[in-house]
Amino acid sequence: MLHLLKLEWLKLKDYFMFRAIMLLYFILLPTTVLIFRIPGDPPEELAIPSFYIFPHIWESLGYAGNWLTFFLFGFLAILMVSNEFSFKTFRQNIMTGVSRRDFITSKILMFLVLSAVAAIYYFVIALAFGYYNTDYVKDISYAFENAEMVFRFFLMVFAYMSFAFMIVILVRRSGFALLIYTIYTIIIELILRYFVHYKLFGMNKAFWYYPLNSIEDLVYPSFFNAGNVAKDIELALLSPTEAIVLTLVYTTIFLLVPYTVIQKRDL
Amino acid sequence: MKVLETNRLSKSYGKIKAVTGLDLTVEPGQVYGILGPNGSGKTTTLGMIMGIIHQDDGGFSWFEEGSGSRLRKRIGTLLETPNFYPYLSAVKNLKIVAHIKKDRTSDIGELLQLVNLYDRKDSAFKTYSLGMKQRLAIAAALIGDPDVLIFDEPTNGLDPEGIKEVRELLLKIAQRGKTIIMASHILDEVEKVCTHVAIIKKGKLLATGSVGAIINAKPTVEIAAKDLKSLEAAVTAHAEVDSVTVDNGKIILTLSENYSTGDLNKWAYDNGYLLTHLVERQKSLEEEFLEITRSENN
Repeated sequence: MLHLLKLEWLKLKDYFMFRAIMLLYFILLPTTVLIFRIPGDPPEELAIPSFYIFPHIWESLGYAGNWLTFFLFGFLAILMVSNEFSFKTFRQNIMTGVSRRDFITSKILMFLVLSAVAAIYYFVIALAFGYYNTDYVKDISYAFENAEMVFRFFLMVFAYMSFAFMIVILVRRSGFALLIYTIYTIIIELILRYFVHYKLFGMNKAFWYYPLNSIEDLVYPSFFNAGNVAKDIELALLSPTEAIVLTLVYTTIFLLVPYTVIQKRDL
Repeated sequence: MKVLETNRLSKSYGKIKAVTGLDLTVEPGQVYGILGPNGSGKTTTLGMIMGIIHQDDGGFSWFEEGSGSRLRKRIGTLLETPNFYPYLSAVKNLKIVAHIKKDRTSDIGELLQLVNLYDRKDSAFKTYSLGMKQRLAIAAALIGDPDVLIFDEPTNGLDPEGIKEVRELLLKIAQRGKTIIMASHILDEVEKVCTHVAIIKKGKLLATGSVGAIINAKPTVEIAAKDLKSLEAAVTAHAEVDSVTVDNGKIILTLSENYSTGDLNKWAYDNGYLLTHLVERQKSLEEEFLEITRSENN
């Protein structure tokens, strides 16, 4: 397993886009959350400084990270695979002596590691923001009240990367894959939910069970829910447990599809 | 031990039969050329035995042990184009190959010296010329000291100097006792480098054997004299002469087994013919190849 991870690391460590994306994440995660400071942007009833204190910081930083990792880590997953197609290094790796299963496994292992790095960084930054902004913590367990979000954050990043992985294995081209990945998430799934599902079945529970909605709801500020749930039922969120179970199911599918496709395909 | 054995290996793409029932046997130490025109199924064949293309039918076995990634680690392959990570240097690319092959003994610097790339070892692959890329691919194929090397059109797209360099490199490798399997559509290349040859066309095996056996061992002899008509009549009647054709003022003939060109010269002199032209020619692989592929068409 370490052998496969090292193989992936040798390919990645000098790759410009890998370095750029990681750097961007490290810079943007702490800065994006600061946009909440722009006066008038968030609803008035939400006290602005509360975004940065324990335990709310876990949610607000998590929400910023949700968007950020969708783009940065999803795109990175696509590039990590599309490169292997366009450089023809996938077929060369196989000829040199990597099995198809090992090739897939090495990618998945790297996705796990990168997701863990993203989650650990999220943990560190949340802790730093919270520590800096919270004047008084009555006991330490209060500061860590939402800290289980670190695990959900990790799962979210891994799920985004797995979804991107499935798409790029199916279409092979980076541009096409980036387009489908983005368009599906921000347009197609919403059309499916609001126009197709809603028209056909109304607003039953399954309305929230779509794959990207499930992943998104892993890390979502509960104050969004609290503020809107009375007005717009369709903006309601899945419970963390629902989101975790659904994401695990979808991620399994996202990984099984490429595995099967790669076994059968001529390279 | 056989290095490679294929058994009725077949692959079609839709209606097109790329490879049909191919049986090949490669023994250790052979430089085995797979010769055929473009589109004859050479690359498809190599793709199947290297695990990147699934065969529809038949099978193959490496080192009499079967197939799989473990056995592929013992084979160095350059198929079609040199494939590397363009943003990595030669050294880093070769390190990846060594890592895959779990090889800790190969001296990457020494290999780069062998293929004459040592001075550029730290430049990114994308800055290399085509010839340099091809040579790097040969170095990559040599990592882990594999028993077998596979080259597909190794001189394709190279300038004359590059072609010469690559051929010399191949001969150097062959001298180390490696088994080489090489696909080519260039007869001259196969003739210069290979010990054995399989001729394929439209995915079918037409002929196989040592290069010497495939090239008809019997030489042809060209003769001419002042009185061509009379000479022609005489050689046609000569018992030791097998076939006679007249072409452009010359008589082209083949001789029977134990009758040499010198014997023919003496016979002509003794019979009063003073030859003005006498040339012995080995039939080239090219002629043989055209003959074999042509007869398949008829």
